[in-house]
Amino acid sequence: MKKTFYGKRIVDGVNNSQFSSDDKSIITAQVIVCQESFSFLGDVDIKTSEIINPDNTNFGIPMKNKILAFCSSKGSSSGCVILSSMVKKGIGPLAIITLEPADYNLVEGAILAQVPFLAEIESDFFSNTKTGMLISINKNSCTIKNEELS
Amino acid sequence: MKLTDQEKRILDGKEGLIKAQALDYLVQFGDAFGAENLLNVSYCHYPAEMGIYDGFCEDVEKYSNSNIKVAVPTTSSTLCCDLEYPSITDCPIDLVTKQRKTETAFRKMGILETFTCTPQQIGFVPLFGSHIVSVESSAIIYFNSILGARTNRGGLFTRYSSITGKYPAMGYMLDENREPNCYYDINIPMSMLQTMDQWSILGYIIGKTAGGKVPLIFGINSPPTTSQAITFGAAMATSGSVTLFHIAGVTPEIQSMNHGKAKDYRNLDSFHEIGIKDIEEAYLDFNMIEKHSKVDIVVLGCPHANLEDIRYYSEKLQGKRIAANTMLWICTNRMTRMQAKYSGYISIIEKAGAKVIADTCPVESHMRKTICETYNISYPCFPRMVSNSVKMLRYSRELLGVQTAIASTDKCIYSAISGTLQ
Repeated sequence: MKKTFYGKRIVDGVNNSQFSSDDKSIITAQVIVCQESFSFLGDVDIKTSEIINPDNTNFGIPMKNKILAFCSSKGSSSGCVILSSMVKKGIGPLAIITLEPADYNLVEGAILAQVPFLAEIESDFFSNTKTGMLISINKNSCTIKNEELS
Repeated sequence: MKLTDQEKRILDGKEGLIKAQALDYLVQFGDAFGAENLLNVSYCHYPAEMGIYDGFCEDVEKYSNSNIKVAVPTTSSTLCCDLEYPSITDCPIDLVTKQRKTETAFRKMGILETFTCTPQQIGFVPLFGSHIVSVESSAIIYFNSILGARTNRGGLFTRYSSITGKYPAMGYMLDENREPNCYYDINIPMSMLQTMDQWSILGYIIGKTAGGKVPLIFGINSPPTTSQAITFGAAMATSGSVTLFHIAGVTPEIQSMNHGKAKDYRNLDSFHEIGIKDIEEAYLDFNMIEKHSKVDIVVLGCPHANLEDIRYYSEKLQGKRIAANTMLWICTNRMTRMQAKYSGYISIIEKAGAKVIADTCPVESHMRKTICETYNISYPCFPRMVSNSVKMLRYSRELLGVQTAIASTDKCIYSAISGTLQ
């Protein structure tokens, strides 16, 4: 089964102090995969980082220190404010992956918060990857490797 | 990215460090999307720097202390409280004090204290084809679709555009991204497209499938009113991230595009037909309250109501009284409230026991769960909410913990008077 997926790097997050490991180009973490569209306003609790929209299949899961993947962005333009606010408080996602082209609004938050943002990822990433799986993002090659598929 | 001599001068710090940093962010942003150059923008609608987000008021206060001024006319979006009458929403005083920092900072920076999600209703009507930068998804979609001005989904970088007057040439700023790429044929009688809730529900259905695409909508034979067009777009930008839509024969930009008829698109995957059944099903997504059961709050004015809306509410409320344990909140901006007061509408509404609230709305207020926890406020503040707006209900469900029902403006008002869902 395919385990490497290509995307387009929008924000590299190179100055993010959270990635001060040996290799700053790779982030490895559990992923939250939303098959639905996602709005930072209304879909996430900004105190606990839990997903609070009951229509989202990841309801109740916190995104702190996880990679957040969703198909498309939706909703309020305060999304970038919430993303940046969550990262400031240390409860934001480690990186964002989207199937559709990047939402300009969220990218503004991602640049300020130095959250790596990969967009237009190959669509089979969403069919092959489940919430909770360990994935690695290589920011240099714009690839995502699913560490649990062989 | 190709920069002009003036832009290079700014970037080199010749006009100060703050402007240089602002332009640097815009260049980074443009580079991320492959923009070839920066555009001059003629207007900005600025984020509210709301007190409910930690650190934002303090940040804009600090920024304004550098004595930086906006370079283009700049209005401001909604706050978390009504600064003229803070007690009207029972906002905690600490939060009001915090939010006042924004007002002081905006005055210093030359940002207009409009504090509204509908600046287009108080005279900020950018010209067709002009480049602007706006926050507030409902204003963004209106500027693009109804007025034909050009903006992306703006956010925190609106600050940088407002002080430099620049934005990267990308996205909806460019002709090629404004063409429709998904198609809708509305097959419902126009009698089902008369009230605010009906327009809101239709927008919600379209946004769900359109996502971030540009819909071209057929089958709407009579243009919506300004308020209907606003709620329609707001709903599309709630269930999707629609930034621009076209209505065949109605919106301005589609008139010069060669778009044909609905039947020309029928075989495409991106074609959707919307019928009566779709409308009925969509209502079910919001109707969580049984008919004739108790209602705690009725909210009108999402997005913010204009003067005609308020005149209409006052006509319906003339000589009536809101039920004892039910609230009716009418949300608008300061300028409209001032005019409505002058015209006598506010006294009629207040005599009926309803409130006309400026600068804010329930979703942006202290009524959010996270804020209630911080200030020891009983949550949810109002367990059962009725509104004529999908946007208000969708966000209130998760953020304010309410049970929802959607109804026409008239039924919203009757529900407030009877205290039960009509």
